[in-house]
Amino acid sequence: MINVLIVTRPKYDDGTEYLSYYASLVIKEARDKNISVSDFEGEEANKGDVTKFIEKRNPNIVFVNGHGNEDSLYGHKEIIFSMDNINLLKGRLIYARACSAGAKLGKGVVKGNNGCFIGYKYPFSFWFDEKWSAKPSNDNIAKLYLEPSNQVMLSLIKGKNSQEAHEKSKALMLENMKRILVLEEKKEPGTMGMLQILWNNFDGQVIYGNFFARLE
Amino acid sequence: MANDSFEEVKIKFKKIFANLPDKVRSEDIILIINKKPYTWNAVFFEVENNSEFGKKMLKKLDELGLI
Amino acid sequence: MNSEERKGEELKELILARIEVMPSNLKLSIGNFGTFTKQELMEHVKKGDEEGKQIMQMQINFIKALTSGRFIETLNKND
Repeated sequence: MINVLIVTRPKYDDGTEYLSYYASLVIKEARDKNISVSDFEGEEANKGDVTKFIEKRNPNIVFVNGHGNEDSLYGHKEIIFSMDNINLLKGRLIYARACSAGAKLGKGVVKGNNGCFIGYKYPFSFWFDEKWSAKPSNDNIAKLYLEPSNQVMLSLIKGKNSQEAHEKSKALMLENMKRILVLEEKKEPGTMGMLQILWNNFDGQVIYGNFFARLE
Repeated sequence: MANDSFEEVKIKFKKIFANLPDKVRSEDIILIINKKPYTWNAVFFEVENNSEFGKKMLKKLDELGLI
Repeated sequence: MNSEERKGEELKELILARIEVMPSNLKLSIGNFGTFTKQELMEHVKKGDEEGKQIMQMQINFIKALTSGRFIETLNKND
């Protein structure tokens, strides 16, 4: 069986630029593992194209980056998934790196099927250093949040099940919280603020549905 | 705050304080009084020394529902 | 101002002080709400708008995790 991964990564503000860069690392890893990847970058992350792809290629894994709320997920400046077209997501392994979709949409997606949803019940947030906004790869502050988040997908790509991927990601967040707790304030000011946001993501990351879902 | 309840609040505060990592105690701002910020350590100092100001701090923390 | 309003204002004052100590070169991306400088975060908190309420909530969630012992329990669980 061929594993098919769809990635949506709009890029129209600082936040989505960072998410898009980190998603590109996942894409590279997936391709190295011979997973068929369809990358909907920038304006390509629109409802029409994404819907057509899902209907045609039936991806088993969906990685959504960008904005969202309790009952929808956004692509490039528009909603691409909501309670209206929730059937598009059913039965799949989904990681939504977006605001709050874990609160409602995520629960609805897994009802009555074997799929799994990993996402956030609070807004997924991160600090970043403005001086690196054009080159996210150099930003060690953003790394504290986005590397653990990437770990969800990297674990799934490596064949771990959804629960393992979720736990591994949270373990990395914990590791980073501990790292922050030993930083010297003089050398890295703002540690309490950094810690608080990492906690927010840790506490907010949720998993619903089939905990044993994995790539074939 | 009546004396009994003050002692209870003081104990509550100390229990919470005991469970905080060192860095949080020294850097996390938990109270503003007269527009001045105070960390957990600063509050602990006043409370431990049974100062009137410490009592005021505890009362405020309790009122704000922070402890 | 009644006591609930006063409590709200005092909590706002606390959250503003917590944000104020963040370095100016850092920005915070908060999901759907956007990206904010330290000054912008503080403006939203002062205004008490949707963004401001979200920022307050995140701060208060963390304080509650500290005071309830959840934070330290979680850190120690994985040791």
